[in-house]
Amino acid sequence: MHLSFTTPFFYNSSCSCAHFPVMDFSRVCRRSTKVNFEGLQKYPHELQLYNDFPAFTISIGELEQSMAERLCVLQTLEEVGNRGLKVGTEDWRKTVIEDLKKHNLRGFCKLLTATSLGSDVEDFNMRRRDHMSHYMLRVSYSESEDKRRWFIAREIELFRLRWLYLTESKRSEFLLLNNIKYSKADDREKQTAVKLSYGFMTVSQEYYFIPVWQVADLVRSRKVFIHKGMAYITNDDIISVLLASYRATLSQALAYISRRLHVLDDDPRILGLVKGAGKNTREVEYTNFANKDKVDIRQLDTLAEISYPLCMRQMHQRLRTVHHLKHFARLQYGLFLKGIGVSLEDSLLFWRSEFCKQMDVEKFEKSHSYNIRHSYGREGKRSNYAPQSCMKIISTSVSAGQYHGCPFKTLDSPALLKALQGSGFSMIAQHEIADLAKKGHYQLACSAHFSHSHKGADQVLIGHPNHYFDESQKILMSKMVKKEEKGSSTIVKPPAEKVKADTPKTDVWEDMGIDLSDVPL
Amino acid sequence: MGKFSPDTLPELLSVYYRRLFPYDAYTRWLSYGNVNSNTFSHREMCFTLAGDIYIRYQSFDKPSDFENELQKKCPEKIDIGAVYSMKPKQKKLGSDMEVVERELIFDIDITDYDSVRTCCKDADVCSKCWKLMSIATKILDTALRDDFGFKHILWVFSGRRGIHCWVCDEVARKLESNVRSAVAEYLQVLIREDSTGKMVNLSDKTHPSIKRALEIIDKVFVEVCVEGQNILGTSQGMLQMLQMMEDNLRKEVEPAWEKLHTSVDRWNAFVGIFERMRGELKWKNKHLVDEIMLQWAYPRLDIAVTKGANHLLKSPFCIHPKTGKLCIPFNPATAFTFDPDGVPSINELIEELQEFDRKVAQEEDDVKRKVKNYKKTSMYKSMQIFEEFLRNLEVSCRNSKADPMEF
Repeated sequence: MHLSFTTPFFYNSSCSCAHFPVMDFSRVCRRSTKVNFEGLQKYPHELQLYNDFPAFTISIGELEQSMAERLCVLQTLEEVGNRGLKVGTEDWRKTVIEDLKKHNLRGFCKLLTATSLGSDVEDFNMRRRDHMSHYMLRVSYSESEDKRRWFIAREIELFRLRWLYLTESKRSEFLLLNNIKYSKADDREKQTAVKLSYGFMTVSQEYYFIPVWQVADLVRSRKVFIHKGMAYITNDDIISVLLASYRATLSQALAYISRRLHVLDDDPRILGLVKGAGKNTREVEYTNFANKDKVDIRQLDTLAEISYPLCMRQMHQRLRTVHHLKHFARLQYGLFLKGIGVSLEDSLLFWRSEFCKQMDVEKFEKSHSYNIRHSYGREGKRSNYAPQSCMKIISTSVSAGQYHGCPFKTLDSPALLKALQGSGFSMIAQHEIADLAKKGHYQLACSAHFSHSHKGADQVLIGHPNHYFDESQKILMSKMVKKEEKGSSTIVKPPAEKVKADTPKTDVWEDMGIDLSDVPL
Repeated sequence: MGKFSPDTLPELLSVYYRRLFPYDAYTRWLSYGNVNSNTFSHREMCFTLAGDIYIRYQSFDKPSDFENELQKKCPEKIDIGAVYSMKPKQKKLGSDMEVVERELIFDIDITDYDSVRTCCKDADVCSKCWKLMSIATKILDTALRDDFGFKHILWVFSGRRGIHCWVCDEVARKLESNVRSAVAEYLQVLIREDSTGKMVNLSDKTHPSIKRALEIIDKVFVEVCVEGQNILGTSQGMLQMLQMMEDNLRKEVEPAWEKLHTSVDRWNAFVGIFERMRGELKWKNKHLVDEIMLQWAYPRLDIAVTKGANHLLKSPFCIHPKTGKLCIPFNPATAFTFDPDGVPSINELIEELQEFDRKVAQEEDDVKRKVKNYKKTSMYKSMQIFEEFLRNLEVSCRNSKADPMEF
């Protein structure tokens, strides 16, 4: 009944060097070493939860190739997701597999679709590569919160895809192998539950009990009836349970690895592989603040009009009208400002001038200036936090009275259309954007917003609000240069002075600590 | 009895921490039956000293250290943080300190009800708007007990404008962060307003927890909201509701309202029209009456507090520095009759204490010593609530210590 998987710990923290228990790199294996073939006993099923760490010898070449292939699979999943296909649907499944075939990933394709490769040895090898590549990418993607989130999201999608290809009997076999059991609700229990649930449950359906803690996602979205800590799930919900537990194990393992990454420094070959794979992520991480042109805060209103993505524009307008923003909005907007080149001094000045329209300076200094300095890496553990990416912004929850988050997600169509009214877009364009947003393609909606704001510009896929800003400025600059050639002036000022900033290290989420002004009374 | 004045606070606090603060019960709570000795010593405590000086990351090796420090520093406010993997006071820059345990907490702030209350604004709370808080308490308490099966729930009035809920069951304290946020979001029904001002949209298959909440609200909605808050008594209030209606419904409701004069009459008229027209309404209005009841009375949670395991929350038994009122546990079952104005303030408590001492001065000294100080004051009733909570908690802790395999 209790669903528990041991957390695999990839490294032994007491060791001074990278220690892959059986992957012994000290015996340099440039050529493929013979696999100690144990038959399929070690991998009795095509799907695995990667609970044990890989314990075998493998050549660097094979390792590198399998990592590259897995990465390609994960990136394909992301791309298909970005095209707006909903995970788990028939369309999504087909598109992913078609795209994978284009990339020539025969082995992986067979594995994912649960088709045999023809012989036991080949099947075994493929499952082994699946195992190995998963573990290596864990290391590659453990470094930052953004990377971890990306990796977990993709692996979860991958697992879901593979589950879809399993037959009913293969699924039961998998549950059995992994020792996952649920108790079925008997007729009397069912009767009681049907009554308690105000008819939410039906007598005709079969139900299984499971502790609510194991079905967090179903609870979150209120998709299941829960009573006294037990959720009543249907057969179809079992995948959610599996995913929740898989996600939890994965996230623990990644966090564990991230604290021990330094042990890799001793092995340049592995370090190279790991770093190499980690760079290929297509999620935008915005670290480009060194040598950035300084932005004058007096220009912010203009910039908000011409170069801000909608999320930032909304918060900027809100701040200008009510002279206050709540914690998460301050964080999201504040880091964005840092990213576009507003210095710490200017940032303090900017927030102070707005906030002090409705609070006294003393209160501002006490409650807010610490957090602003903190986000510039001048307080606490002194990490220079990176501006939030779209992924991050989209995934944060926004409740009533809050203005952070992604407006394409948080606003319903009428509200979004209203927000777009001032943009000067045609009605068709406005509806195009609202439609994209409604279908859940938030980044595409933002990209469309970008192309309508910058007529004639190349199509840009927005993955980061600062990316939006930079691209916009680039276009305006080039226009300005053209105009200057013709002898006219422009609204955007040329770069003033260079500001040096440290490269940001981690995500701001982890150690923002508390916001003193929001400490409840 | 004199009124509380913030100037006298330092002096009063010193007496309060010396004579009244319930150290024993308080530290027993945070020790959780001493199943694990780190539970107390790895707990972050934050003090706020006069002049808004925050001292974060404090921790105390044993209860007596806490007592001594509290009497020495006399903080204006105490916040309780999480239990960490190391002693918070030993935290250095860049050290890896992870949350290992944290009560599941909820914070409801009356200011979040500003768009649906008319009696007070900002930090003020009167018995009318307290009723909204008591509905919130009832709904949340029922959900936590019936849906999640929690047993050890402590409800605390913050001393001014908020209520806090501490769920202290072992499972709750050890929740993973994604589960914590799932619980929070499960209980957060109201989301950001859409363009018509609606904060909730129900579907035909309404979740049982929401139906149960509606039953709770329905019993008191007219008394608390329609009448108490006079929600349809002003043109602004009517407008707010009219905006949520689709055209054909609004066309019927608006003229009907103009003819009527009280909030209750208007509400009844609206419900009547709604029931009659229900079949013709589009999905966004199909459940409008239920949605309005939720929007006006469902708990408005600050879920960031619940989600973030490292979030601080004001401790029970500290004194609100502005009002002088004690931050005390209350009984969720009788929340409806709880009177926030009746909560004793620090100066009242100390006067009561002195009064008692004067009366019994003639009697023998042992009588005096045998009676715990707080029993001589109006803190007594909330202490009983706290003691009972603690007794049940300690029984559970002991059982889980005896049988650690039990879930």
